[in-house]
Amino acid sequence: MVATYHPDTELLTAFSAGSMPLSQALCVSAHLEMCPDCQNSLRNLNKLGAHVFNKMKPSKVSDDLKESVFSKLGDTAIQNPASVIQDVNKARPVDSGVPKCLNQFIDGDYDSLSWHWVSPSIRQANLCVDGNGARVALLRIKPGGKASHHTHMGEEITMVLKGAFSDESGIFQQGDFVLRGSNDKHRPMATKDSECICLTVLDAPIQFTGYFTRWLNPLLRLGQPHSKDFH
Amino acid sequence: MFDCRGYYAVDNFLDHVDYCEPKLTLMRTNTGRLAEYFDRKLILTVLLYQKITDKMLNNILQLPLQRRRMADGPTPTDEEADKQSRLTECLERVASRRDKAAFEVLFEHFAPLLRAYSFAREPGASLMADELAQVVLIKIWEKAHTYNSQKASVNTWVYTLARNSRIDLLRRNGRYATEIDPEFLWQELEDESADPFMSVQQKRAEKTISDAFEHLPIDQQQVIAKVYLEGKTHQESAEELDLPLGTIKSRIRLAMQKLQLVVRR
Repeated sequence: MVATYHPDTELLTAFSAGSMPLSQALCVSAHLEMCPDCQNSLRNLNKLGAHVFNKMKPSKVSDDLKESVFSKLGDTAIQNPASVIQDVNKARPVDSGVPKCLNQFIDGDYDSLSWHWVSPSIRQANLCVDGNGARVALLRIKPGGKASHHTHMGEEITMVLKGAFSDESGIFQQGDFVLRGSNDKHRPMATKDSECICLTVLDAPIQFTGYFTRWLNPLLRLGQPHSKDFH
Repeated sequence: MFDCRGYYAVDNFLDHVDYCEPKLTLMRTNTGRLAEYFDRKLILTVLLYQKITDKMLNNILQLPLQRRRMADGPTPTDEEADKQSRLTECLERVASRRDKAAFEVLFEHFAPLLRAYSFAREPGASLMADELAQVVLIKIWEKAHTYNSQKASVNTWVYTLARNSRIDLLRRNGRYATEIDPEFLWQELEDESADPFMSVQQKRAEKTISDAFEHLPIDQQQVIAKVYLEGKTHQESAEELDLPLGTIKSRIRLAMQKLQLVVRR
């Protein structure tokens, strides 16, 4: 499936430069695995990086550094490319549909994660907290399941890994990358034909705004891992 | 077969192939025969031998004028081209023969740049500069066999190694407090198999990018340097340049529009 919604130019540039929070980079990376267009863009952007890299004013190198590097060369044999390929295959036994960049958090398939109850149709699995306090989690919405109305305190990135969801602004399918700003109030709903799994990165916790769902806010916070950097 | 030789600048055709569907497939049939040609000759041959679909034609017609002009821009000096092919040759000798003399050429070229790249992010951190240079140079030695000159220039390959290693080093030094392992984020993307087209295309694109970058307004160049060399986020760049965040983003967006690096359907 070809993605319709992509990271914008500024985000792709930051990814190519390696200058974005790793939690965001995780979402961009997951999108790239599913999007040949953005892969092409990234290759181009890397060339720009190489150009400015190559134009820097060189910094003088000491003899010590040279000696140190050359002393380490003898020990390394050429890795057999065939064995490298085998290793990669071993790491991915079955096609679980999990993007490679998430393998560090998911051992096997999505079912292996511990999913917390959020609402009758939503489960959440927390993956980690980034240094800047952003929370990285997976959301799993049952077919046709609705989330409650909510707004964000900060930016939220949603990467659709499986299935599709829709809200007031459109329908988002596998591979789509959606960035929402703060004060963006919306109510996502999974399409009826399949469950929807999304990777989400949240700068700050979401706030439920519906009258009947406000009580969920403290619950949701409990479900989040602690971070001393969070403020 | 549509004869388009009289209508369109041959130069632009290759830049354009990227955006065409069905991509290169219809040109692969004659690849064996075409491979002996390069650049202009190759394209001409393609135009002569291959059918151009309506969609490709439309795409060519829609090429912005600027892009057509870009192809006529200044060519890189022979000196620069010679240096590049020398680096490629050395890297291939390192891969195939574990040639230390060839590696020394790479060392002399890249070690000072790698140190500068580290200083750009962490000024004054001399130990880190040496560590980064060492890590990347040893990677060059160990991974030389994975380099494919069809896909990227040696420069671009080394740049991506340096970027990934710097992120990893900053993380291990506790500069980024994070549980996310960057190793899996910037892995080399799956790519089409080697293709004589890609090599030519790749070289053209790099030349075009270098030329066009030099023509960007200074304020856009400055932001790009902040982001790429200093590794600053948009927010950090905004603070350090004392500009609104929106200005940083719009400068990047404008620059990338001019450079035409981002593919959008």
